[in-house]
Amino acid sequence: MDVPTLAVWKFASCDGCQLTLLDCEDELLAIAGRVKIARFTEASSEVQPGPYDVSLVEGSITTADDAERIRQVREMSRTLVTIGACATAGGVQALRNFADVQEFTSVVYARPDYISTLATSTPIAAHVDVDFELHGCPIDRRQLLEVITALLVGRKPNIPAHSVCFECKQRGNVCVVVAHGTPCLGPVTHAGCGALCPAHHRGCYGCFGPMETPNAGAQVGLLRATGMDEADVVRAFRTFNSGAPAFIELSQVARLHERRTE
Amino acid sequence: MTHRNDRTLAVRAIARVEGEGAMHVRVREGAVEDVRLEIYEPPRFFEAFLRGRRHTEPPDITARICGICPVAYQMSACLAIEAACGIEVTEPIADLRRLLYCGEWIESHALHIYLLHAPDFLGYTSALALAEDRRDLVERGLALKKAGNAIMELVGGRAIHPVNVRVGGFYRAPARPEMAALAEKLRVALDQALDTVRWASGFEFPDFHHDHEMLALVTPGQYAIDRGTPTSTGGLTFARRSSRIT
Repeated sequence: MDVPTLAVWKFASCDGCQLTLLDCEDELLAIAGRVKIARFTEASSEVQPGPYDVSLVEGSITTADDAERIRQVREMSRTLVTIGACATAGGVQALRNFADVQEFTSVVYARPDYISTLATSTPIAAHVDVDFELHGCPIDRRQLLEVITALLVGRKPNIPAHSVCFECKQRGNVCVVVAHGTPCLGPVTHAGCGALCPAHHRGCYGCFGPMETPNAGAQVGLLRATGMDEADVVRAFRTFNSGAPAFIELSQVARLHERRTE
Repeated sequence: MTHRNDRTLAVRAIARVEGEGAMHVRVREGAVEDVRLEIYEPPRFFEAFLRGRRHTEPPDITARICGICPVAYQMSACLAIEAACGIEVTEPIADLRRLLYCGEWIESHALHIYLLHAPDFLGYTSALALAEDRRDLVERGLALKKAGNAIMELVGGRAIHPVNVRVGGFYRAPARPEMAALAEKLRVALDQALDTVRWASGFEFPDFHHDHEMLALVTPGQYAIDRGTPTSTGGLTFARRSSRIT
């Protein structure tokens, strides 16, 4: 069998998810022995022409050029995996979706006329078909290795879609909500980090995006009970995965909850 | 008329750098006539969407400016908000912050030296290609990089976008046994770092001098990464602007 080829692509993002691949210090050389890294600009000046067996795509679509480029990437890729909150939900830069991008441009840049950008930041799946989405801001190293391993042997990656609460229990964390009344997005957030924030005595802030079937009403009630007001709850869901439909719904439920309780 | 010595060099994507860019070089009659560096990294508008956030939120948000150096942005956000609130953190907190920041420096410098730049000096396309001939070198680089990440993971809670940093300090202080185990790893890493210096100082650098003024933080008696006065190589200093909220 030919050695499978891997390509890594970057769109609007912070580099953190592709860095996760280089952060596999113990496994990187072993991975390089099993796959041909055919295109990875951050790590290699060698560019092999496509098509590629697997493309890992980091980043969101924020420019007209990138909307075209992702179509070309899709055409060159047998399997396309999006990695991280930018690629799967538009990332923190999707906060422009709730604002006026022209106003944003005028606030940040001395010469707004130099800036070419779309009014929205959208996930890769809004533009092309995606074969697998790996969540997280950043993605988890162990989960990335699991996805690569699964693709190599041709099975489905074992990435549970349950909540961070499961990981808290597995880790033996004390529940920060029950014990300390700390606001926590763990009940509605996708597992994968290993319940890092509660292990550091703080509430989960939702950087892995929504779990499979979040209970929006219960979560909003829980956050309000810990002392957050409506604006706090809306902001809590408007960070790194603000474009994820379930988090949009959660911020809308927060507004309804406010009106009901008035 | 096109002369034989006229050529245009176009690099559409500069490889092995942190970030994205293209470079265009125009050579006419054997002399470089024009060099254009094009940064096509799209805007993400952090300055704009930080408005209206609670003062506790910027350290988590600004980290996402860069996955390779999130601590730089977390520290800047903390220091700015603390200055605005008139808060100065205690010495142990300042020490832990510096340790975290050193972790980032070790990680990103190991990345930079071994995975990004050494291949250029040694004539390889990547560190993976280098590893085919000199696996020991690349393994040493990765081990050093991992030591930096170990600091980030213990003090910061995560190597990329640490979760343990907050305005005023940390959510959780590392325990003494955890620090002792880390110190053991760092003793090994120190040897690897010294070997790295011996190795990299032997690289051949082009003999090129250019007059330019550089700017960095300066702190007397310390390698300034977490505090200091912005000072230029030409001797200009810039006092930090006071923006205290009263």
